[in-house]
Amino acid sequence: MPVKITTYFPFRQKTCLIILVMTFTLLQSSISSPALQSLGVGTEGPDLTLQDSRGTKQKFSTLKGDKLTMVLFWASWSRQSEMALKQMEKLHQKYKNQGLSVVGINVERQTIDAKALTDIKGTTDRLQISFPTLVDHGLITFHDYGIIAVPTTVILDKDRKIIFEMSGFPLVGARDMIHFLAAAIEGKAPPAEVAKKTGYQPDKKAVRAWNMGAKALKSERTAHTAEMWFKKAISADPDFILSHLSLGSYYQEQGDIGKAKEQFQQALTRKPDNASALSKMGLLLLNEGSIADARTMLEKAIKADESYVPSYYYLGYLTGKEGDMKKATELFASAEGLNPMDYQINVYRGKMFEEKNDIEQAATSYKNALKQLLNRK
Amino acid sequence: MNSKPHFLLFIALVIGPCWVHAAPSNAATCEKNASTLAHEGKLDEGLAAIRQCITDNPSQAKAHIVLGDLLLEKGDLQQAMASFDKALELQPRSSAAKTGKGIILSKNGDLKAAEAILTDALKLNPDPVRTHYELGLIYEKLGDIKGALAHFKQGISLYEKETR
Repeated sequence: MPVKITTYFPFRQKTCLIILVMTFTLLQSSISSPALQSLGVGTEGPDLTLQDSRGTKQKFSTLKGDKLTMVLFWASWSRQSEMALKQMEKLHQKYKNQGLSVVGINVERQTIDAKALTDIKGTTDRLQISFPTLVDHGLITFHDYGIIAVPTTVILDKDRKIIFEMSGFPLVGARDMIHFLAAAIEGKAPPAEVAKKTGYQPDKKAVRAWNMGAKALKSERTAHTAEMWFKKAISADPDFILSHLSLGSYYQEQGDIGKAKEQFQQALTRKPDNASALSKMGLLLLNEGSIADARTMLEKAIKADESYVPSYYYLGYLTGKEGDMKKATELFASAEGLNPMDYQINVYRGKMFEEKNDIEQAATSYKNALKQLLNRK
Repeated sequence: MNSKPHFLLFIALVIGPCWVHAAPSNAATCEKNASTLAHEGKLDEGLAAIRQCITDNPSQAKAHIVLGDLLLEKGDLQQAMASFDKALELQPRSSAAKTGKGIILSKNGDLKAAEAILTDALKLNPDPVRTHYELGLIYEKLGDIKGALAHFKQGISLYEKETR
């Protein structure tokens, strides 16, 4: 006879068990999660000039801290942004005279009208935010940084080098971030567990080579040299995951799936919980028809980082292909909850409907994706 | 020998081309500033700025297109159409002006005329993402969903190729 869980865990114990499981789940959200699409720890953060809520233009150079600058990308529609804003205010109060500058960048929506400005001001007034809040009209800085989910925290040094990134506001990630910041500002050693997660900084030569590769990709004339630069970056620092991911994506675009897989696997060997590598591998497996393996990868990606948006829409596409439209809809909705500005959510929804021969829904999804892209122009 | 004529000739040769190039470059900056203002939600200020650009340099087709786009955004279809017509007078093969006209025709319900001018724009346009979108909308309204889907997909693919 099957044993019911309540036999072993009466009410109080069952509650404890639920708390235990929830705590474990929260602990899974580690600090090592990629928060930016094509940048990462060690690379240079793009410069920025944005308006504050009064319409005055502010430059990064005038806002940056003597030691560090913490940038929070937030929106009033995002559930976790409020928590993040409150925490940033505490850190601002604690470290504003010790070389830390906190800057909030509101990424409310593509076009900021009077209502959006009222919502932004309403939130910052209600939470008594005293650090500068800028408004990203047209989401230019949002796209420059390649933000994956809202909120996202990026810590930059005085030369604008990214030294920390975190998407969402996971419990453990936020705690680690505070330890990391305290160590960097006060010169204290962080707890061993935090040091293990945040201590890695890529080799400078590797970052330089990766930068060259990323720049090469921007021009058709030089794109073919990207492979060489990414390989140089890997040879300078094999643990620099971004190089493996960029080289893998390069091979994928060239149609060399075998080599792409090899690079994503290399990334996973070094960082088995890297949500970006897991998602990229999951999508490759999905495209080649290895549905079960793809599902395992994508579910693992979500477990590793609950804020990594592509994992949700890849898994939504897969789930829809398998026929569970209700679950697929939920997954696409989860992706939109984290980043409604990601046009790929609509592209994958469109692909799913198209494969199901629901041409009307497919056309609507592609139309919405294209509209999002045109708004960026 | 009097060196003054030689000096003036030298000045004319060196400064002259710069002077000729300065007008379009200033015009481009002027148009960009107007677009930026509109992009920042200051549509009326953007409109005032682009009208000033046209007063300063009335022969720039691009400025009339920007004015048309901003008027379109404001919902003034009649004035927008006049701006696109003016742009086409100055530059008859302007795909952007044809796309603008197509959007207005579509908004006015003249779908067949809109389809014709947008298809024409597509043939001329090296950057047809917007045109694909507008054509997709027209096919959708005409009930040709497969045609609409193809244009939306093509627009996405072109955008991705452009920004890669």
